[in-house]
Amino acid sequence: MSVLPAIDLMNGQCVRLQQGRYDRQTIYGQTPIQMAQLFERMGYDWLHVIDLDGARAGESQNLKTIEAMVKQTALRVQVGGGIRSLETIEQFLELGVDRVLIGSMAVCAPELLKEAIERFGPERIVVCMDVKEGKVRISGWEEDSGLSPNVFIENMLALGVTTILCTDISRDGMMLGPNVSLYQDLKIKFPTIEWIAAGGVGLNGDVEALESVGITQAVVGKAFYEGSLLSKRVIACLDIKDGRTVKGTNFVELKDAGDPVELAKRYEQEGVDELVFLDITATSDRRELMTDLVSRVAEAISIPFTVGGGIRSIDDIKSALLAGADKVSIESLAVIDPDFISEAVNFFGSQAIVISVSPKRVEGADRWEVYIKGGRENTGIDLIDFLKDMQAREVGEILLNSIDEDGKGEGYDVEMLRAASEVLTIPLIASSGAGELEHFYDGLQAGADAVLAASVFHYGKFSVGMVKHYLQDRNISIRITQ
Amino acid sequence: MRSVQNALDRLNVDYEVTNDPEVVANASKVIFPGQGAAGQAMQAIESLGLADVIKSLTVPYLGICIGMQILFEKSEEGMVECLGVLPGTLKRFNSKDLKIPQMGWNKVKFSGKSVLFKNIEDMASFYFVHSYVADLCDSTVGVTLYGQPFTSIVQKDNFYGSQFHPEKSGDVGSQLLLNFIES
Repeated sequence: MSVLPAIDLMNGQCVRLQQGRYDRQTIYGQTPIQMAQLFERMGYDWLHVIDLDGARAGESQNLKTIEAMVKQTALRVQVGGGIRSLETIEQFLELGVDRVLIGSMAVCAPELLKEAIERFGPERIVVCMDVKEGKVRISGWEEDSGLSPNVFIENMLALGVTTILCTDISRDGMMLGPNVSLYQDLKIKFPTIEWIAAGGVGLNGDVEALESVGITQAVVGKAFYEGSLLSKRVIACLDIKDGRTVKGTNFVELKDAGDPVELAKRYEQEGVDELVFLDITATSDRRELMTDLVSRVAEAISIPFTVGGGIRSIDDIKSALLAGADKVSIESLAVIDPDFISEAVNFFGSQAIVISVSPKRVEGADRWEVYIKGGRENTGIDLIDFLKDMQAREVGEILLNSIDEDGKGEGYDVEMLRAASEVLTIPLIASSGAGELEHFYDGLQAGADAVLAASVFHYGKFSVGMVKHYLQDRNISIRITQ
Repeated sequence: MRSVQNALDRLNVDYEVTNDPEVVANASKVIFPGQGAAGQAMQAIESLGLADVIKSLTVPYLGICIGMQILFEKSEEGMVECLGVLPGTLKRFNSKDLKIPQMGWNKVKFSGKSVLFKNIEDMASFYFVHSYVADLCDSTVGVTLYGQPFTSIVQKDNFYGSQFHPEKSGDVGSQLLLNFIES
């Protein structure tokens, strides 16, 4: 498989246009040559270069830049953008460009295209076919060509075309992944054509999906410059009392299933992304017990973990973090004394402060109120107002429980998650209610960045690995460990 | 800090925790496990007299997170001058669609050769927590995508840096630390 990373050129610089608009552009600090060299170091063989000046003015301003990219790397280069004459094609090929991309010329001047193929060889000429709603659109050609892909391709075959770059416009820049079935159909109907896929292709498994239907070349553009490969997280929560896990478990093979350290190691092996320890100890030696546990967990595992329950002061946070916790989660105190949260963020940094919130739906309404003290006391504070306040105080993330759904196993409160994710620009962890595999998926679809569960993992209904494979099969970006 | 110590303990590495310039100058390897903000880190470095010591190190240096960020020229976090071992300015993530901080596991695409990569697969996942990023530069050997491509591993001469936390990245993270220790 050849992946062709894209570089868009304007005035000798690397740029990206927003929605194709020349007045809205991002200019990259890297020179085109530096970018090309980076792609070469990343192991790519080909470069897909679009000359935006050429596309706009019909005349390239970037010949020197393109020549330098060809000469200063071992990459093979294809260039497109406003190529409408034999002279321009020849000019690029003489610079050392391997292939030129032809857009509107294929429809407006087929006889020229035919001549180009005869003169320079079919392997040097790539025709670009954009497909939208079953019709062919031609790049640089505003109008719908009115042609179906089949007719267009037959025409191209008759002209001697052997390579077609097909972009599914509906996927272009949408980060939805490529339209694999479209390429599969094309490959089956026109097996002699060398197909290049473009539009929506990312670095995360898309290439493998295309390869599985026989496509061997794909352009990666927006997914590289604007995409994300951050995985959604699967988090296991352990309830702790007096340094021991509260519930019994089905992990029969563990010597001591009540030992949080043993359980933590077990979850790490299963591939859990993070752990949360929720301490419900009420005794006066609470802090010593917790600090001791945190130290032992931190020595045993090498993934991040959060400690919550009973955080009442800056000193509580300090002792948890010094003992090796990565974050602390704070619940009631955040509601009672929000200024304490600002102080904690200032002292320890946003990344260390997680706000755990336990809302309950106001009966008959699409709003939720925040409860404290283990759900015993309604503060009357609106959830969304509370979340906005915490976000303004720059906390690291929100762990969103649900009093209505807790312990039922009927799924997260997805409406509440949706409402919360609409106002949050910080990470959101869904909690309370996961009982089936699809619940994890639903929680992520509702806007959560991470899904937390306790009892389904604890009692062995699912392993973390099962949840992760389930999510991965549904195209959720997930970290899978060996 | 504690996490890095635990990770080194698990690898049976001898180490000393110090902020003494003389100890740092005479170390056989240096790990800077920065946390918090670049401004605070630089302030501490300056007041301890560590800036020149770090810059003139000839032994392998591994900067983790802030420890990597301070290798660049500047950070917009607190508008602070950094050590300038590497070119460029740390900037806040610029995306309307993505959550900031980036928190969680993301992939690293290798963009160069490094001893740090021994027994680690291209596109392996590591744990990230940060709001500021370094652009790509000629010393970028690992690229990660989060609304923009950014430098997740950097290497220039004896200076190594990782934006992610290897000490929190499970087995691959331990392997990376081991690779540094054995470099």
